[in-house]
Amino acid sequence: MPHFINFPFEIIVDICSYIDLYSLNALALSCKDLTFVLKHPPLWRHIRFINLEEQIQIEKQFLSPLNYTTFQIPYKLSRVDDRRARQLLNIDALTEGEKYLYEKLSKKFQPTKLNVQDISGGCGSMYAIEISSSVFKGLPMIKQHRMVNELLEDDIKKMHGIRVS
Amino acid sequence: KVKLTSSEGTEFIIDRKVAEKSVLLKNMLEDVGESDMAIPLPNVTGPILNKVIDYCTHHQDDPFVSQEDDSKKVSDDIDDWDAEFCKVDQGTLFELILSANYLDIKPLLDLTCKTVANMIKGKTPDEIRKTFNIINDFTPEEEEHVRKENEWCEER
Repeated sequence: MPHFINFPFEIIVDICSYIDLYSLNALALSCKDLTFVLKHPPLWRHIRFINLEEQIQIEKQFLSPLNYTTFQIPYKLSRVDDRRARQLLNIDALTEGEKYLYEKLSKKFQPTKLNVQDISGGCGSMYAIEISSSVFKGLPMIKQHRMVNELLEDDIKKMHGIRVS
Repeated sequence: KVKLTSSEGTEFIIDRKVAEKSVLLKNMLEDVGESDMAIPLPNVTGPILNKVIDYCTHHQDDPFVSQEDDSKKVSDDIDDWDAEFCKVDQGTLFELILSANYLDIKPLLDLTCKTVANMIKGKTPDEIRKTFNIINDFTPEEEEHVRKENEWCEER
């Protein structure tokens, strides 16, 4: 007799596409072979990526063009999913201070690349920031730094140093 | 008329129109043309093939849906006949899914997958294990880890 977990991958995915998030989570917790159902991008719902380009790319790849333009997330879910998105982007290890700067920077510049690192040894007085964004395109380095410094003006006052690259 | 043989060698004779609900058979028939030769289906048992033919006969006049609109996937749009059709034991239901997949009968695959999805909806992991006879192979620590990892979607 066939067994649920022996189904071909695409059949399980097909079945799961009818299931709501909460039941999907329960299914993922039922045994090891099924944990993948929460990690399979075509089954994701309401995920928002911090990085705009990544979001567009994933939406293009996995969502039909029809709901692509009207993709909207209810407030509460977007909060939950930001956390998920961070996990997926492997930045969940950020400290409070790093997170704060990260969010502030990504909101302002919608960077294509962003790394925030506390280099003070944990006390939050010195940060290294690595950022690239289309906003900076064609601008001299000094101007780019000024833009970052302007944004973080109030925060920098509390720090001993900041390194931007 | 088309002749099919199930895995045990039982012969079934059906209308070509009914057979063509299966994309696999449709393509096969287009390739070989009319023929007296029975088409062997070694992956499908007699009782299951019987059910599949029932389904295809009932739905033979349905329009062919090539690419269903993916944006709206709901599982509560099953009509009475289909619901009655799916009132079978789990083994039969799963065999139907595999056969629908093998024979490439999209509406039947959708129907059976929806039925299974409805069996999962609203259940706890434990209830799901009981329903499908799944063995919990997590150690308590691993289960805790996965639970933690996924707790973002437990918030309602």
